[in-house]
Amino acid sequence: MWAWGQGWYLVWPEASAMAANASTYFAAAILAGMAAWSAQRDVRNGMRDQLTVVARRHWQTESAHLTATLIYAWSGIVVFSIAAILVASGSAGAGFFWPSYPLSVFTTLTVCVASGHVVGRLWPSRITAPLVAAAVLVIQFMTPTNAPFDFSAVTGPARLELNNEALLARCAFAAGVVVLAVLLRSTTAQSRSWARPLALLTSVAGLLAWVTLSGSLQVARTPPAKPLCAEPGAGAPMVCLWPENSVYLGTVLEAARRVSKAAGGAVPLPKVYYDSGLKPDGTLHPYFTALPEVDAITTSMALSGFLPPGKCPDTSDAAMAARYDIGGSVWVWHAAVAKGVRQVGTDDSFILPPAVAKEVDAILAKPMAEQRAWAKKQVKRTWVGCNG
Amino acid sequence: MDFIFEVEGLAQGYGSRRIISGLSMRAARGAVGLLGPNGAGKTTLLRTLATVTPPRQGKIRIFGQELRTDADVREARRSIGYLPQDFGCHPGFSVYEFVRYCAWLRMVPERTAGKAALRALDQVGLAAMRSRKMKELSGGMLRRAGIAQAIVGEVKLVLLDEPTVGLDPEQRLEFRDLIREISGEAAVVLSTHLVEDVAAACGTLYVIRDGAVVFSGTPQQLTDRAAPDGRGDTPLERDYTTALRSSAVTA
Repeated sequence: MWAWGQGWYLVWPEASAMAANASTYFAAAILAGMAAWSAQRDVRNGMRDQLTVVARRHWQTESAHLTATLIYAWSGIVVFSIAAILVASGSAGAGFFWPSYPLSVFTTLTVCVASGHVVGRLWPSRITAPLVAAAVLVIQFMTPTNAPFDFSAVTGPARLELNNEALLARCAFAAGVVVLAVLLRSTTAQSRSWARPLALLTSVAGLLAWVTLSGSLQVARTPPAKPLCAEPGAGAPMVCLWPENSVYLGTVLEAARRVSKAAGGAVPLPKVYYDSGLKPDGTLHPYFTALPEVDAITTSMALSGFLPPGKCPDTSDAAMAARYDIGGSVWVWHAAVAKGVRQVGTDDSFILPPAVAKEVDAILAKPMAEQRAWAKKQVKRTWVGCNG
Repeated sequence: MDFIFEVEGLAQGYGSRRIISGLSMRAARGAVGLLGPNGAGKTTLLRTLATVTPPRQGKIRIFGQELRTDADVREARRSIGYLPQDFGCHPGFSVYEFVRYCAWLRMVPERTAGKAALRALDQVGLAAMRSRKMKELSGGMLRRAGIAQAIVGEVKLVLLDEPTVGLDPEQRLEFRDLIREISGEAAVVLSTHLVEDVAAACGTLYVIRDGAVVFSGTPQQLTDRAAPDGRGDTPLERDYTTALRSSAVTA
C-alpha cells in the first residue's frame, strides 16, 4: 500500500504489479476458503442424492460450480487492473500495462480457488474452509520472495520482468488443478479404482515440478539499446533511465544536480548515473533507484557513485571492507550535503553506526571549505594503492 | 401395455445388510403407491429406481431400456424426476432459479428450460412465489418446490419419497390433486406410510415388508380383502395391516 501513497504506481510495470498484488493481498486466502466452503454446498444443503442422479455429466456440473467461484476471484483482477490503467495512463511513459503481472495473479487465484474446491469436495467439514484459508495465508507469508515456487511478484520495478517459462509453467499448473477439481468427483464416482484419480494427481504433481524447475518468477530485463538519457547541466553527470521510468526524469535530473554541486570537486563523480539494472555491461554501480522522491534518489546516487579509480590490491573481502570503511563517512557526508541535512545523527533517512554519525556530524559543523578539504583527503586515503 | 419401468428380482442393500431381496414390480402411466412400515425398503427401492445406487442383483428397465451402462443410466436420468425423503436445496436461490437449475441438470434444452421451470412452478402452485428465496419458504411450500424440481422438463417417471411429510391437511388435499394431474402424463411412484394418501391418489398399490412385495393391486382390491381382525380405523388401513401380516399376495 506504500506504493499507492507515494505515487510509485505511475510506472507501468509497477502499476501492473500493484494491480496484481491488490487482487491477491488476503484475497487468495479468503477465496480459497470460500471455494472450499462452496464446494461443500451440495453436502451441506442435503443435495447429494439429487445431484447424483442428474443427467448432466459430473464434470459439467463441477465446471459450472467452479467457474462461478472463479468469476468472483477473477473479477478482483479486472477491477484492480482497470484502476491501475486509469491511474497510470496519464503519467506513465512508454510501455503499455504489463499483462504478465495480472496473468501471474490470475494463475495464483485460480490455483488457490481450484485447490480449495478440491479440498472442500474431499473433506466436507465445517472447519475445512477456515483451515484452507489459514493454510493459504501461511503459505503466502512463509514463501520467500522469488522462491522457485513463488506464484506472485511483490513489486514490479522496470529492471525486472516476469520469466516467460515460469509464467507458462504456472498457467499450466493452474489449468492442471482446475482439471483435477473438475474431474476428481466423476473419476472417483465412476471408476471405483484409484487409478484415474492417481493419474490426475500425478499429472498435477508433474506440473508443480515444472513450476519449481522453471526458475524465478522475476528475472532481469535486457537493457534497451537506446535508454532514456539526459544531461542535467551544470557539469553534473548524465542520467539514463528505463523508458518506463520517464515520469521520474525531472526528479532524477534534480538529484544529479544536487549530488554534483555537493561534490564540489572533492568527491569524484561518474560520467553517467544509470537507473538500476540499466548499465550496459551488466554491473550495478553507479546506479540510482528511480523513485518519486528526490532525496531518496540523491542518497542512492551519492552512495553508489563512489567507485575505485582502478584495480585495488585487496587480497580478501575483509581488506576491501576495511578500505570502504575508511571512505564510508565521505559517502554519508556527500549524501548529507546534497540533501541539505545538517546532522545525520538525528536524521531518520540515515541509519548509521554511532561512531560514523558522530564523525560526519563533526565535519558538517565546519565551514564548507574545510569539509571539502577533509573529503578530498579521505577519498585519497580510501583508494590508496589502487591503480588509475 | 407399455411399462414405464420394470423391476425383476431386485436385490439391494448397504454393506453387509440386505434391504431388498428378489423384488419385482412394474408400472405404466399413472400413480403407483408404495406402502410399508418404516424400514421396509421403500426409500431404498426409490433410490435404486432413481439410479442413486446401482442394484446388487436383478434388472431394471426404464422406458423399455435395461440399465446396463453409464450411458443407459444417463439417458434414463433425463426422464426421471426424484424427490428424496430429505429433500435439499440451495437456500440462496430463488424458487425459479432453483427449478431452472434443476432443468439445466436434467439437460432440458436451454431454449425451453425457462418455460419448463415456469410450467412446473405453475403446476405446483408456486408461480406467484417464483422470486422468493428457497430459504424463505414454509415446509409445505418447500415440498412443492421439491416436486416442481422433480417434474420439470419432459419427465416420464416421477419418484416421490414421503412427499406429504410436513404438509397440513389442506396441503395434502392439494397434493393429491397435483399427483392426479402429473400422473396423467407420467408414472408417479409415491412412497408413504400414510394409507389415505395412496388410497386417494394412486391407482395401483404395492405393499412392501422386509424388502419384499406382500401385496400388489388397486386400493379397491386391497379393501376387498378386508380382514375383520386387521388393525385400523378405515377398511383400507385394516387391509393394509392384514397384508403386512400375511405372506405375499397379488390381487
